[in-house]
Amino acid sequence: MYIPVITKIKITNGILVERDLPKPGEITTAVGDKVEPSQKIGSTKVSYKIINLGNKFRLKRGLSFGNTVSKGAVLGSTGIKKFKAPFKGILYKNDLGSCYFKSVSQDYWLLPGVWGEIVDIKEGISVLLKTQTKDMQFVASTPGFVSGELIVFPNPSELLEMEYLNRYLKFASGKIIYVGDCLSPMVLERAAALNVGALLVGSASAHMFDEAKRLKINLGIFSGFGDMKTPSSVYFELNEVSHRYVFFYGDKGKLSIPLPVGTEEPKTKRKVLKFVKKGIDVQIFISKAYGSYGIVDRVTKSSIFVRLENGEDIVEVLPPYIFAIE
Amino acid sequence: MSKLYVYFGVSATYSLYVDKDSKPKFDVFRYAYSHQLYRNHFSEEEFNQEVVNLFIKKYKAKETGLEKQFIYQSKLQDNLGKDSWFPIIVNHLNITTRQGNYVIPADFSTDYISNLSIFNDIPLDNVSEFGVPMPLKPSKDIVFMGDLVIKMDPSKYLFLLDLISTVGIYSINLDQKCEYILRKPLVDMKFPYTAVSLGTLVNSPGPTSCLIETSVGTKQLVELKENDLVFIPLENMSVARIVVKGQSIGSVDTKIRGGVLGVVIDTRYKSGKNSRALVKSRAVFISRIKEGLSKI
Repeated sequence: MYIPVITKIKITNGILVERDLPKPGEITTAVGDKVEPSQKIGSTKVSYKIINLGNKFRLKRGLSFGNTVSKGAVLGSTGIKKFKAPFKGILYKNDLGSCYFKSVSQDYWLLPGVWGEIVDIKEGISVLLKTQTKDMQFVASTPGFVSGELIVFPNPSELLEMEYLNRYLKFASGKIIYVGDCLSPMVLERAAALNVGALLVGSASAHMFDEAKRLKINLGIFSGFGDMKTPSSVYFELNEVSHRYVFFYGDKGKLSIPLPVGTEEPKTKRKVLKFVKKGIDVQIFISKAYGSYGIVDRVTKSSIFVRLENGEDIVEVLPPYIFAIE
Repeated sequence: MSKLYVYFGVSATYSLYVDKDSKPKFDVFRYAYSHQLYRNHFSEEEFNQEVVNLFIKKYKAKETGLEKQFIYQSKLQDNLGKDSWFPIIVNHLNITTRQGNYVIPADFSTDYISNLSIFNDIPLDNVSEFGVPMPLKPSKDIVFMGDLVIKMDPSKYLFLLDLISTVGIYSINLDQKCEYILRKPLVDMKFPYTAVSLGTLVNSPGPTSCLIETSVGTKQLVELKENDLVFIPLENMSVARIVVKGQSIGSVDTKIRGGVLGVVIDTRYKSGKNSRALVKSRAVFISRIKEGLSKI
């Protein structure tokens, strides 16, 4: 008896990643260089904050546009409202008469975020890197792209998810967070408020998936819709790379984790179908264990018996309600 | 020369193997390609090739001289022929006939249906959840096939009956291996096409009376109110005469044959306002089908 294989984790070599500066600057690496995730390979000057003061802003006597002023200094007023510099910055006026206050430019460092080799450079703008990744497959995902630090919450309890979001994540903005087996409405709402980069879960209801799309939150689901666990192999791998810089490709349905140079993808041909025998990992879709994972315990002429992940229950399954997992 | 015909359905793959020495063999592999599940690992072509290889292995066919022909879902209508049969292919959330493709209305806000869009191999088990799909206008000899009917249960029989809303008397049949779609080599080799007879459907919305007279002379008069559904046992291969009088069907006197469901007299209004009332009666109808099947 043969069944299809759902590949959950896959190592891929030769992936091309482009890293670019937010505005033209200097690239300090060369084609052929081997680089590491946190190595500085380019830089530019970037002003991170800008405040529009409008065209009714009146500059304080003694100051002029183009001056650099310190944090806390009074710069002028709009009507009777005085404006104090919230950060060190520069005042300027555009052609239409609107006044702006922007922070002084700071260094922006271009980091590869991955291990790899520089294969091309657009001088002063970007680099193209060849790298290798471990890809974790989503069965469903919202279509966005984001890269950022991966945070992995412990799996067991929904209550803990909220605890982690509220207490331990002071800077959740832009982070890619694995929040557990099943996505709860509270976690989704909180993640939206914290401007989380992406949420990763074992499962979510179809309604929650639609909600994530509505709230414009990137969401990747590893197992299916409803209440299903994350495959233990996926959770184990995520845990191994917690705090690593990762890439969420919603449109391609995968999470890519950069790997050090030298990690080779397996040479054996990837299987499309697998012969069902004792010991293979499976996911099953029968009513009493819908979407559950387990291991084939025994195979008879007409049935497959699967020991569920809890280790105790054995259930009888027949194709097409069973898939091999790799 | 041996031939392998494969139809790649939406959630299952069907095959026919013939060679000059043996009878035609049919087989169904209960899976099909899912873009969501496999896109990052292998293409649809690679998946289909592996399934074809599996069939070749199973039939112990020799690759040399093996003529292969593939039928894809997108070209299914081209393979439905122009004979007296009216094939209705009920696949994963869609129905294909010679007249066109119809979508089975489903609520994608439910987890069950959303999962079917990923794990498309999982059959529709709870068909009673679905509304009555687009009414079809079939010719006399209907044959149901496709992924939904590979494994039947009472709710699926009712679902198939729901599909036919056009008034008339129909012979209804079941083809669980899509032999109709794959049968081209059989036509060449003059093998007859046979489907399992489900019996006769008398589709007569509104009050109806039927007199059934079997070939051994027994007579049975059935009087039905509107929105009812009954099953009169009539064995497969048995022929009977039926005289039907009904509000919408008028007066009909014709010969019918039996099958798994016998004679199905259906007085339901399957579209319009009245059809909503039928939802309440579904459980009753399903238990009648169950009861009828248990007598076979």
